[in-house]
Amino acid sequence: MENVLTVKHVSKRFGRHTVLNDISFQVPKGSIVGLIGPNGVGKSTIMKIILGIYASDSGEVRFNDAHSAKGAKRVGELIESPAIYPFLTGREQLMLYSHKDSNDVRKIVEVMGMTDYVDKPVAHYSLGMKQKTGIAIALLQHPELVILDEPMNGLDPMSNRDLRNLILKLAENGTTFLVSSHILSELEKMIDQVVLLDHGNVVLADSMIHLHELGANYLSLMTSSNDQCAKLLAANRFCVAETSMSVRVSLTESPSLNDLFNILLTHHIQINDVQHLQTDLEDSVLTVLEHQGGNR
Amino acid sequence: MKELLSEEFYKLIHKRGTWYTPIVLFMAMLAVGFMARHSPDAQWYITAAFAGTEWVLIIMIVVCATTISMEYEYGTIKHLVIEDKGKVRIFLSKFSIIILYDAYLHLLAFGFTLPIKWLMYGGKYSFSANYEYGQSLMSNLINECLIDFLGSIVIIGAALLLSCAAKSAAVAIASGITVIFIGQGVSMMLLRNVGRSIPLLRWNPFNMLNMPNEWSNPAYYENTLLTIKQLMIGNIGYSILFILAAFLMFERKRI
Repeated sequence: MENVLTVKHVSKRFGRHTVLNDISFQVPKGSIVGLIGPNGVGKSTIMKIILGIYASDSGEVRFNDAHSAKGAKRVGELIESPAIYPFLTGREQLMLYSHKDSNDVRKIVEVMGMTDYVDKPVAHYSLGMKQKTGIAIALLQHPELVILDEPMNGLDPMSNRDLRNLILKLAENGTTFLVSSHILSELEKMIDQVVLLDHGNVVLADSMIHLHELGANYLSLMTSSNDQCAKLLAANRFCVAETSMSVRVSLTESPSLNDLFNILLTHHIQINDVQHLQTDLEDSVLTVLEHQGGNR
Repeated sequence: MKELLSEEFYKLIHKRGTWYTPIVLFMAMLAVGFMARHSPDAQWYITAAFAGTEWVLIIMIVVCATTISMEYEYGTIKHLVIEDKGKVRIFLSKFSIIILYDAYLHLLAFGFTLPIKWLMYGGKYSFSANYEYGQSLMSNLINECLIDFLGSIVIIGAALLLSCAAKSAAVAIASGITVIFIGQGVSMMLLRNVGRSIPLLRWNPFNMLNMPNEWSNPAYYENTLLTIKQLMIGNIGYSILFILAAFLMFERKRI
């Protein structure tokens, strides 16, 4: 897949403090890439370097302009907090940033569900309304790449869902997203790729599919006799761990599911509940970060 | 650059203050007019635009202070830099709009002087009557507005410099008004005491602010110890210096 953005060996220092250390990653066209990591690891800094707000000390940021749509701007952004003037109304704000393209403004107001308050001064907006205005500004003029720093900040669950659906729809139509968020459960629902930063380094850059494949994948069984169940499965080469309420069976390191159920049924063990559990993004991130911490 | 100028103009006309300013200016000039109604220096008040140009300076300090610091306060500077990339163009567009607004306010001060003069004195002091420098009252008023406009650029430069240094518009406004007006007083005091023995002190930036006063009242030389020509040179020099320093600070200010 063609990359819209390539970040190559980028480093940045502020005084004696190294914020980014030889960062490299790619953002494929039409993908939604999640940029994650603990506070202060340089997520906003790399976004600012991509946007040209900061110059990097070394390395390069390259955009692929070969497929830029006519009339589209290259990048839309929401960095840290929405860039809005409190003395303007939401509509005036959008008119200012759209270079007075009222059609574009009307469409984005409808898409973002801002009709009820867009003509009120921004000074009277709630945090969520300001955030939506910031996202609307980022999406104006159909950018090829949209960079969103903590876009879910201050949004209610419905707005969160609407934003997620909008990002997914735009990505389907070819818009590329680089999104940072601490709400990993929300981020996980939309991103295709993840770039994990820690102490100024990329410690993980992978597709979500691959990440899920690598993560733990297991069944949680509640039976009439968990103790007997665990012993039987262990004797038949299943990877088993018994908890107080259930038996956990790893699916990646065990024989087939048919064998598992056959053994339990043959020994007249009643199955009360079965849950299929998978490692989520949060677990994966924490595992990688703990591993990194151990290596330092 | 054209787009940036258009954006700056758009922001300026959408600020409520922009629309109230002419009313405030007119009311302030009217108040001065009432106070000077029976003054023997009526012609001086007319040529000084009923202190309208002084009010314009205060307004300009507020405008300069907010124009740059608000971009940092609201985080909008990021968008400006991303859209345009060049801080030179951003600074130039802001400076151009400020100068245009300054000219507009001076024009208003001149325009408001005409009805206020008529309201206060009727036809008593003719604009064609002879006044300072062997020129008519009208010529003196026009020259006073032009000299004040030139003198305001040094204040704009200083206010922009403070705006780039301050973290918020409120701090920039407060420090701008304080520094400029207290500085003028301190300069006056120093020159009165040691101005003749230390000539270099006459060239301090605060002394340059007295140029319009010296133009409307040549006896003011006793306070400034510089001729009007020297004050003009000083004003131009300090304007360039402050504007360059403001730009350098703006360019280096971390976003």
